[in-house]
Amino acid sequence: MSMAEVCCDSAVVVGAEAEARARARAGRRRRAGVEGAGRWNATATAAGVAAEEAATRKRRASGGEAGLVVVAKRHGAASVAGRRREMEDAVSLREAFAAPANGEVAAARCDFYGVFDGHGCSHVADACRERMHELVAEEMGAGSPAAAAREPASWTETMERSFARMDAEVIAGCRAESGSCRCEGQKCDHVGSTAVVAVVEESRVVVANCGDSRAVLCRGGAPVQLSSDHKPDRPDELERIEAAGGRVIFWEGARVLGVLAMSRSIGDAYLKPYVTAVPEVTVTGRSDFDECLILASDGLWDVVSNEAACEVAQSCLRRGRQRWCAEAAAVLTKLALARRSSDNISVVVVDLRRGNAL
Amino acid sequence: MQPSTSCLTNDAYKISGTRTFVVNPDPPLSVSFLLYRGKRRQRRALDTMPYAAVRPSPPPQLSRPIGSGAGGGKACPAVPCEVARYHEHAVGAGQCFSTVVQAIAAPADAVWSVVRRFDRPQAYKKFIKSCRLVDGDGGEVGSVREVRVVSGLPATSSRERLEVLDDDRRVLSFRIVGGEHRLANYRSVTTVHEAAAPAMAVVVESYVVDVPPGNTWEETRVFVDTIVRCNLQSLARTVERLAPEAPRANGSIDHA
Repeated sequence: MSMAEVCCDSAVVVGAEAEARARARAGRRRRAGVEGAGRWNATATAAGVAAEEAATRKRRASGGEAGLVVVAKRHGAASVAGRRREMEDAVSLREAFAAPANGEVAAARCDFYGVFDGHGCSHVADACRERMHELVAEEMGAGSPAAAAREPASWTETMERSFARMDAEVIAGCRAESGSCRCEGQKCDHVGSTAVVAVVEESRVVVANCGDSRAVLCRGGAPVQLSSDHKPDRPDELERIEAAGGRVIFWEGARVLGVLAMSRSIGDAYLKPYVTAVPEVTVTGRSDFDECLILASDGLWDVVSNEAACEVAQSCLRRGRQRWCAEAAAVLTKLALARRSSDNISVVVVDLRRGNAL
Repeated sequence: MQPSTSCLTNDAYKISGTRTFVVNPDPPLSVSFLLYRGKRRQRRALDTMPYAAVRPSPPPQLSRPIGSGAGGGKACPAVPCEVARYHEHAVGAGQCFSTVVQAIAAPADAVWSVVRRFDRPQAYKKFIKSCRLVDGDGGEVGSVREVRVVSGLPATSSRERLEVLDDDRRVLSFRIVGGEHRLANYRSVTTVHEAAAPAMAVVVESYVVDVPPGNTWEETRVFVDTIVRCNLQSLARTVERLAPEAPRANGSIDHA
C-alpha cells in the first residue's frame, strides 16, 4: 500500500460532501480524542458559531483508531493514532469558556484550547480534556477579576493552581469515563499526560505548558514559540530534578529515573517529586500580523519544525477558504504521518486574525 | 545453571539487625544474604561486586504515593533460610543485582494468589498492557509469555520464561528471553512471606541483569528498581483492595 493511500486514509480536508457525511454520522461518533458533539455543540451554539465534525475512514494500514477532524470558523483540529495502536491523545476546544475580565466587551473573545498527550493509558488525557477548562475558568473567577486586564503574574498563578488541581484529581483517581481505558477502575500511578493549553482573549494569548507538547504562534509567516519543551536534559530541568534527589538517565533518550522522557506532566504519581505538574506560563500580546496559533503534541513537532508548520498554515490561509484552520490541522497531520512520526498526532489551529468574528 | 548451594546455618539466621554476605571462592561470583529491613532502608553497593570500584551514593528515596501499602516503619522478619537460596544470584562481571522489599497489609496467601499468576501479570504490574502465553499453561516451569508494555516507557514488549513456581514456599522466578527492551539476561525472583504482625505479608523481589552498553551499574539499578518498586506498590494496593472480600478470588476475565 502506498504512503499516499495511508495518508488519504488518515485525515481528509473537509468539503461539502464530507460535511454532509459528518452530519449523517453524528449519532454514531466515537470518542477518539475529541469531545462529544452534543456537549461541544451546546457550547459552540452559545457562542453563535457553527461547529461540525468529520470522521475519517478507519486506517486500513495499521487498524488504528479512526482520525478525527474538527471544523469551526475560528479554529480546527485533527487527531490521529498514527503508527501507535492506541489513541492516548486528547484535544479540548472550548469557545467562550469563561466570562471575559471586567471592563471588556461582553462579546469579547475568551476561548480555551488544549492538547493532552497521554502515556501509560488514555484516562489522564481524557480527564484533562473534560476538566482542565473548568478548572481554569474557576481559577479565573476566583482571582481578582476586578482588574480590567489581568497581570501576567496573575495568569501564572491561575494556571499553576489549575494544573495543580488537575494533577491532584487524576492522582486521586477521579476519572473521565473512557471506553479505551484498561485500568478497571484501579488507581494508576503510572499514567500521565502532557498539557499545553491556550486562553485566547481579545488582546492576548495566554499559554501554559507542562510536558513536551508545544504551542507556536504564526506571526507574519514566522514562528514564535510560546512554550518550552520539558525534556529531562534541559539544563534547568536537569538541575531541578537532581536537586530533588532524582536522576536523569540516558535510556533510549534522556529519561527521569530512566523511565519517563519528559520532566513535567499531569499524573505520574510514582515519579513525584521529580516529575512535577507546574506549568510554564507565557502571556503574549496579540498583533495585527498574527495569523494563527498552533497547539500540537510531539507526534507533530518531532518530525515537523516550527517554520514548516507555519508555512503550511500560511499556505492554507492563502487559499482563502473559510475553514482554513481545519484544513491546516489536517494537512499538518498528514505531513507528520508522511514523515513517519511514531506517536499519536494531535493538532489544533486557531485563527488569530483580527476582525474575524463573523 | 543450578543456583549456588550456599547453605545458611541457623546461627546466621539468628543474627538480627545485620546483613550477612557469604561469598563462594569459585567464580562465577555468588552472593547470598539474609535480608532484614529495619526502620531505615539503606541500600548499599555490595562490596563484592568486582566492577564496583567506587561505592555509589545511596539511591534516591522515592516519595510514596497516597494510599500506598504499609510504610517502612514496620520491621520485617528475615527471609526464611529455606527460601533465601532462591535470592542467591550468580552475578557476573558487567551485571547488576538488586532487591526491592514491600510490606503489604494482607495475608501472605492473598498476596501469593496474585503474584503466582504467570499468565496474568498485568493484574498488578501496571506497566504491562497485555499478556499472552506462547508456550505452556502458565502453571508449569518452562511456560513462556509474551507481554506488551504500556506507552511512555523505553520498551515495547518482553518475552519471559517461567523458571520456578513453588506454591509451598511461595517462590516465583522468571527469565527474560526476548522482546524489545534493553534488559539482557534478566532473571527475577519474587517470594512472599508472613510478616511478624498478623495479616501482614512481605514481598521480596530480587533480580540480576546485564548492564546495557553506555549505562552504569547504578543507572541500571535505578531504572529497574523504579519499575519493580512501582509494581510492588501496585500489588499492595491491589491485594489490600481485594483481601477483605475474597482473598483467593480471581474471577477476572483475562484481557490479554
